[in-house]
Amino acid sequence: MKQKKDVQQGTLALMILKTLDVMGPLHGYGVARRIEQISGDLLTVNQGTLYPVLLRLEQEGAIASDWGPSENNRRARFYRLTRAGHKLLATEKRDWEQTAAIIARFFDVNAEDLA
Amino acid sequence: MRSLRRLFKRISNFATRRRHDERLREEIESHLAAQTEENLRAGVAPLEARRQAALKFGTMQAVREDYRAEGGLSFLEDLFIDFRYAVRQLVKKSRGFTTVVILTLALGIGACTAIFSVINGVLLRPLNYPAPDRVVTIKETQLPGLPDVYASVPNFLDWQQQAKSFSHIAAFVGAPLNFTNAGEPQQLRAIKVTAHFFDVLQVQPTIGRTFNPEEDTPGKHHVVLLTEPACERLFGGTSGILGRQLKLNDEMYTVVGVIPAGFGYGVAPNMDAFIPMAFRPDETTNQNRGMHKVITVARLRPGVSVAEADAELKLIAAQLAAQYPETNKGWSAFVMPLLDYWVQDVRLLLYTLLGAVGFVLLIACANVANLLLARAISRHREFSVRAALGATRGRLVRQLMTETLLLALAGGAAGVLLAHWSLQGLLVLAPAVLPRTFEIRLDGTVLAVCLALSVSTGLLFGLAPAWLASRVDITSALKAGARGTTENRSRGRLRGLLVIIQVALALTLLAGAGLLTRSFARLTRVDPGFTPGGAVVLRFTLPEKKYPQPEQQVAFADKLLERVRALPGVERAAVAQPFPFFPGWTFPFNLEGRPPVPESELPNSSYYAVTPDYFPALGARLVRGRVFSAEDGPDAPRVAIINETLARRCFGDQNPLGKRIAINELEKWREIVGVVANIRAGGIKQRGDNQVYEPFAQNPHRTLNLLVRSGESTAALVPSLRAAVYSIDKDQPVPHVRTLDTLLDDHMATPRFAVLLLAILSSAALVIASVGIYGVTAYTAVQRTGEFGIRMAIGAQRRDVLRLVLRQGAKLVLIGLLAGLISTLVAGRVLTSMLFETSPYDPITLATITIVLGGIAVLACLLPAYRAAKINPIEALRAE
Repeated sequence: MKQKKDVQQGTLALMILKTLDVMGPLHGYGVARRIEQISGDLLTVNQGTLYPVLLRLEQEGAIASDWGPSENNRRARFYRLTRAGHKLLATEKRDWEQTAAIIARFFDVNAEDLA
Repeated sequence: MRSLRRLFKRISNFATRRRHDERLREEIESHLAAQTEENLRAGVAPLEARRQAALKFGTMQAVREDYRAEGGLSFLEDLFIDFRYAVRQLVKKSRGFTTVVILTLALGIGACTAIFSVINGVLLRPLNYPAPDRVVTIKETQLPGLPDVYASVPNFLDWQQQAKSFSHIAAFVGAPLNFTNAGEPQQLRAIKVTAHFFDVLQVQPTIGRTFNPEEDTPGKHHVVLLTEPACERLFGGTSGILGRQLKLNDEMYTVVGVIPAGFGYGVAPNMDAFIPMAFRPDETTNQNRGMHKVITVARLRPGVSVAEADAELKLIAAQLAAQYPETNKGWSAFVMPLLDYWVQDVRLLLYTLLGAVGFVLLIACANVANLLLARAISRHREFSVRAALGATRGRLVRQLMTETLLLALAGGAAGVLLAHWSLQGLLVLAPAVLPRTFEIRLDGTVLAVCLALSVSTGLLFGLAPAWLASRVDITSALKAGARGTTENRSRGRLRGLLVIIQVALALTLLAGAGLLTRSFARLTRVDPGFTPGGAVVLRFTLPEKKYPQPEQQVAFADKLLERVRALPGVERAAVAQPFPFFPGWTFPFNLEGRPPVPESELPNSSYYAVTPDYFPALGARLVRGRVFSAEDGPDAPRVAIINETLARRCFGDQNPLGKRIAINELEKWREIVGVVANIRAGGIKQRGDNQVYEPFAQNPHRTLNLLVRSGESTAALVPSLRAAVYSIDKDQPVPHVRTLDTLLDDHMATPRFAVLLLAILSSAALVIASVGIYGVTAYTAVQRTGEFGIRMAIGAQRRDVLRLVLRQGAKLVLIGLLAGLISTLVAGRVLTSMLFETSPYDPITLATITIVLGGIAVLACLLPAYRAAKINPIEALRAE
């Protein structure tokens, strides 16, 4: 059976940012669920590892957080993207796409093309 | 930008002690609840739903730690925890250990700090002139190995004219001034300086000006500069001082400026006044090239190094030697930084002392390392438990190092205190020995060095024990349970090595102290050639203006002796110049009937002009012939007395009486009428110099040393002796009064200082090292209690156990002694120049020290061995 992919910290941060961008303010569990759904279970994240990353992003100023009531009226901490976070997401996205494009091109090249 | 913001946030969290623990706990709680609900909705049983939620979340502890690390500064937080833990360990749990370690380190660090502050003040602190490293002195020297001397006036003038390496060269010479004001006459400490003296040292007068070059010529030289302290003392301040007329040496001088206090260190400290040199024409003629009488200071031209200046001066000196072989043949010159020249005599002494305190510190550190090692082993279980709970080895080492550094810093702080006290004791002894003692203090540099010393001691001697102690094998350590862990081999080896080092260092230090003590004992047994007790010498100089003629000088001396002899209690009185232990004169001499040679190849002799009672008053021994008498007057036949050394060298077995000798004035032959025993006039260590004496009446001087031997207390006599001088000339000051005892004692001050300090240091080393050897042997013996119990149970006798322990200790001591002997032979070379008629390899001293140290060290092993042999095998085994 094929091993499920581990997620690198940087990638996880980018996923969190994008999730918050799409979904608006969300609590930790919501972010975790969303990442799980989108990746279609191809990817496992120990859900706990999310929280140190959330704290880091908050300390960097990319996101902000506040207590609020959850769907079932429980107290939960809601995270939302700040303006700096939007900017960060845009640059990170561009960087990521560039990297992906370069890598993709490398894989497309056949031995004959190089001759 | 982002990471900067993050760092600030972390620092502020750390500083405000803000913790996110609570927030995380709540978030985890809500996360798990949400996930559990989700699972329940999917139809999972309640308990299982919760379990799966926790599983999905992952390791709580890891998340918590990451979270905490992200939130604050984990390194500092750990440090803080370590620090708190260390303080608790040191202060609460093992106060005895802490006290011993801090005291030991304080002793080592304190001694080092005290000696370093002396070195810092005396050797390292720059002189207080602008660009002090550019100020040099130029000395003349005759062949390497002979002491350097002052410059002669014509040579100095040639250097001034020819040398390109210097922006200015200046000369000065001591010129005490008799200052006549209302009241008792005073002597001012003063020097005569050439025109650019103040340009060389770059000092600005507080008021007025320094000298013009024109004032450095005879006739225009009646100007004087006073120092601030002198103004204060003489006139109560500097107001209205400019233009004031002072009567100095019976001539009128005009005050043209005031020099700030503290000027002149390294050159001519604590002066009252400066007057222009103004060489007379008869002083600058070529006949004066052999008269070395002025001191030079010079400032190097920018970009010129000392070595370049030195090379140029040697070249000029060589040319002068070729040009004036009569006086300059064999003479050269050298350039040396002023500070180096000033402190060169004590440099070796101070660095030797620094080496000695360094040894003491190392020995102390070896003890501390041993204590740390033993303590670490007794905490073995603690470390095993911590390692089992997940502490890495690095983390254990860090925690141990925090403790050690804390100890070292506390030791350093106590050391500063100790240094402060011991410096006060040192400064009582030092002025007789060291220059610049006023510069010695505990300043920032010293404290910084002390701090660095403490930290590096802690690192150096804490690291190895910490590393060895942190090597825990969890399973075996925990399994061993209550059983004491057996001695680990690498720890045992480290401990043995520390003992060897201690013994070797202690031996080296003790041998050094032993050699210096032996040398000092020889020094005190030296016969100075005179009787030091019960005699006093008064030294003063008659002003040239008032007493220009030899007849006047003789008349003054005769009148003085007459009045002094009339005083009650005076047994003998004489006048002489020069006087033993004061700066002397050395002149070439010639013997009648010897083949003629150029003046520069004639042998030299020190020279003294003395009145008839000189030898009896001094207590010197007449070997043959007679001493001078009243008949040897100015018009009587010229006579001389020589010392035994000159007699043996120049006449061998022949009788020198009746032979003729000429000294200084080579055309004036004098008949040798007596031979006296050698007097160590040039210093107690100096021997083998030729000495020639002439009757004072036939060759008088303006500087008079009045020597008085009395039956009663000499001190009580001094006021009436001074009064006798004033009764002849009420304007004549008498600045110097010394007893022969103190004159002789001054020469003992330096060796006594060295012996005393080294004796104190080596005793400390001996005590610390013995305690160390005892500690290690005792510790090892206790560790082996179980083994001894088994041995005795199966038939070993008490003396077998005794021998076992003793042999282990004695082996280390023997290796240490051997290493110590080798290092003593190497280090002994350093001491050579400080030893008086004692070889640095003196076998008796080395053998004695080795036996004493070896004996004490074996004794230190014997005690624990004896105790180990007394154990009750049954109890020993039960204790296991």
